[in-house]
Amino acid sequence: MSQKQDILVTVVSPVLGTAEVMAGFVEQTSTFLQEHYTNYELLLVDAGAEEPVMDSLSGLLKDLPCIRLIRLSAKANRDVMLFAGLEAAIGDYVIVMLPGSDPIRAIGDLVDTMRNGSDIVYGLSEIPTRRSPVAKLGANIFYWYGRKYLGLNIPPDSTYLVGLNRRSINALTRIKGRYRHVRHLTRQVGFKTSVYRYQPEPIVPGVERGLWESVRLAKEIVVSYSQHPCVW
Amino acid sequence: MKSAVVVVGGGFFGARVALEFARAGHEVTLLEREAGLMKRASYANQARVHGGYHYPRSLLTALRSRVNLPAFYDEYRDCIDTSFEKYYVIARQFSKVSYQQFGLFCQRIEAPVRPAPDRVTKLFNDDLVEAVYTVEEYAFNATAIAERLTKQLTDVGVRIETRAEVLAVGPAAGGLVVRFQQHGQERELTAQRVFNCTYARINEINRRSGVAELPLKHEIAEIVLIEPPAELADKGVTVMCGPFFSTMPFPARGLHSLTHVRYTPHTEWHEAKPDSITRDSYDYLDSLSLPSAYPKMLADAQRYLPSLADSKYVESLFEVKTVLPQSEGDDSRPILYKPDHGGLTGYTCIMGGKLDNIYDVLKELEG
Repeated sequence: MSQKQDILVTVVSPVLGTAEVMAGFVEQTSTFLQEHYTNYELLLVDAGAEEPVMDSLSGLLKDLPCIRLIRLSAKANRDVMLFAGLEAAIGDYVIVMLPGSDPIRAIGDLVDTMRNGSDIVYGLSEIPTRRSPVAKLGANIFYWYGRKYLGLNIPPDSTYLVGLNRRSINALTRIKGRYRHVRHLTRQVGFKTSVYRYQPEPIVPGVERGLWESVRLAKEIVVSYSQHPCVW
Repeated sequence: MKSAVVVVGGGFFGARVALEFARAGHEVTLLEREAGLMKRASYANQARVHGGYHYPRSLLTALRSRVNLPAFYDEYRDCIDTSFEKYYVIARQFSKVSYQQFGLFCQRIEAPVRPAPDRVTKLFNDDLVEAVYTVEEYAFNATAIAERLTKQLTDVGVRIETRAEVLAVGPAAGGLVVRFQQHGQERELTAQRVFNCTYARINEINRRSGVAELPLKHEIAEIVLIEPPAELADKGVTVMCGPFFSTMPFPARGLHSLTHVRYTPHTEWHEAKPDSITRDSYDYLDSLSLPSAYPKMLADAQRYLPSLADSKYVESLFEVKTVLPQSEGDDSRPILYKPDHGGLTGYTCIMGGKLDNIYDVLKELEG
């Protein structure tokens, strides 16, 4: 086994999907972190997960070290959950990933990329995101609108997987506001960035965002970061 | 006629109980497992002289601290470091108390508190910190107190037996017998009263004596000793109330302690509960090889107090911290006082969570 890197790594993940998905994710991530880093934490953020999921996690919390669970007081969307995690993370390097979707090996790749000089590393799917025709049309309109009018350049195949070093985390968490979106704000804070291309696992039920949730998110991003289209 | 008294445990509580009985004219023997007094938990702790500020979730503990503080301060004035400025800090997130609640709480217990000056507040990360208060809180020098107590005990004729491992306490004609091992030899003492003041080993003595265990929770706690950066050398800081940290002078070493609610406890277990574990606390601690949680303590603490990044790690003190289970929820520090425990007339178990609790114990003894 290679020597552990003497750094503090945090993995931030929302509690999504079934108990089985979460248990697998927690066990694999914990093993990977334990094998590769002298100090680590796995920070899970819950916003109203089902009881069987929380029961399963409670058992894992007792057995596995260095896991923290933050429970939000109300249901919240993915970005609110992730920001809660980012604000509590103490790592020198923080990886945001979705259980059941992002591969565990990405942790090592993202940390290495940041240790080689990048402040922020974005995940980009090599597989086009599977969407229904309606969802695809909506996504295309949203990304086009964002690029043209909002100065928002989120690639259509960008994922929630992102690596942030301490100074980019500090900058990101200084941005206050009711609506904060990880994929948007990480592209706004500056610093040296790079892209990590990978193949996400097929999204499992419970992790995938529904059509209406996507519409709501798109609307929220448009109105919270810009006066457009109200003021031209 | 004055009776014979044996006190088991030479921590602060044991030493003070022994002193009290010797002053009252009893023949007192103090049995201590280590080479001297106050070598374990009475030494390896934050060295905080509690002014009540620490307990916004337990008004009773806070009030007792306010009551006991003057007595402790008067008695150990020359062993207490009052030279530093002390600040209590309220975090914006994850705090179990808001700055308004903390201010009101201090008013209620009549603890001096005022907003910290700008030169101090600017040391903190405004994004994470809601308020900084100047308070009056001190630190004790455990080594100086141990020296003082050793002299006082010797002066009043207490026989101090160090390296004495108690094997059992049991009934005997006219009182109790204490069997102990010292320098490879088994010895015994008879007494009318025996006090078990062994803190983390109370139940170990109880088990050896065949009496019921008491419900206790133990933690392996890590107190990190650091050299603070220059701007914090004359300051103590406690961020509360929740998963936060404290750094303050540790006078026995001329350093600062660094502790963190999340990272100081490494492992925990209960006694006298359905899922309890039977083990000798100190043997268990000796068997462990724990990595320091200092990197994590520092990583979190410097988010609130950035200049802590320039502190220098010196060493970690690992010790068993014992609390009563009812203290878990509200962080209170009640005392344990169990006279005639296990049906052994004259056998008393005593434990306190902080040094100034001793005055509550002495009152019980007077009673």
